[in-house]
Amino acid sequence: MSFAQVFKSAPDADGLKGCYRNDALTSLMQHGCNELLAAQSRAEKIEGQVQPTCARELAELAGKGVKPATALADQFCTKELFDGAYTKAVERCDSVELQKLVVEMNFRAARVNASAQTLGIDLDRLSLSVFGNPAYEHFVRELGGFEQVAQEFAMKVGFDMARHQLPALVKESIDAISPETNRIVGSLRAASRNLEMASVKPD
Amino acid sequence: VKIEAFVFYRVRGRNGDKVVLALRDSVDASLRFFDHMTAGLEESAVANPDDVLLTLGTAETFWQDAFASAVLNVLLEAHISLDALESVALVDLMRRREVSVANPDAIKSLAQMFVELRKELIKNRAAFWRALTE
Repeated sequence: MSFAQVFKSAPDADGLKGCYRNDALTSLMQHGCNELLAAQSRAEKIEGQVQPTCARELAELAGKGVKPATALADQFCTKELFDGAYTKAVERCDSVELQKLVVEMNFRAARVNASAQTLGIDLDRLSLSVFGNPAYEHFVRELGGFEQVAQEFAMKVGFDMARHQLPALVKESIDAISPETNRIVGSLRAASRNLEMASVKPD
Repeated sequence: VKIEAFVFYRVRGRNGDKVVLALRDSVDASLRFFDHMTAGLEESAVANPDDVLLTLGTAETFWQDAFASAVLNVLLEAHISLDALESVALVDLMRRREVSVANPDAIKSLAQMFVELRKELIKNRAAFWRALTE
């Protein structure tokens, strides 16, 4: 089994094929890719357009028929070694995912905050009348975007804590949650409680 | 410069200045620079303090700046939803090019450029990994 064969069995766009995660597999390939990019940067200095990126450079290499050195990845390719390396790669990728979600969540909180300020909405006393009022449509949409990322984060934290042995890293991510984010989560909780109370109809 | 996780930086890149996000690698707790939110670890690089030109702040503190906050309001009004890193990079690019915040059309067109760049990135990445196994 070569690494490329393992990679081929990774899920396609529909997620149907194989059981390996692309992010973990590509992370295992990192060494080969980085070596290629370093070799390319030594060989040629390309003047960039707006924001040239690693992926563009990788695609250029692919266009030239260059492939990453798979030797390092191939050495994992006995069943036992691969499983161990793959599990570590999943853990590593999950930790980065978690950190990205915190950053995205804090950014969404900044958007919610800016939108609330423009419309004169007090985030500490989120009135239910905001929802369903066309004047506050933008704000409600921002709040929805925030909620989505916050839920993804909560799921990921739960998953990571149950599965991995990285308490220090999970804690660092939780500590990075901004006061703004906490404030919005708090006001959403209060609003949801009010909504529950309002929806309880007397017999 | 002391590099910290969750902070955006303007750094000297191989092909010009760019905005990156520092995140921690769970393997050895070292910090790595990511130049796109969709970039995986294999596209990130070891964070080198010597490359840092400017510390831009976190996803919260960056937006407390008056100019950044004004740009954010234009994005909100126009329903443009760039991700956390793209949004910071947009503001940083406007500063470097001295684009006025009073020019919403210029902001929208720059934002569209970031959307196109993201599409291209995802396409290129897929092409590379496909080529690998062919």
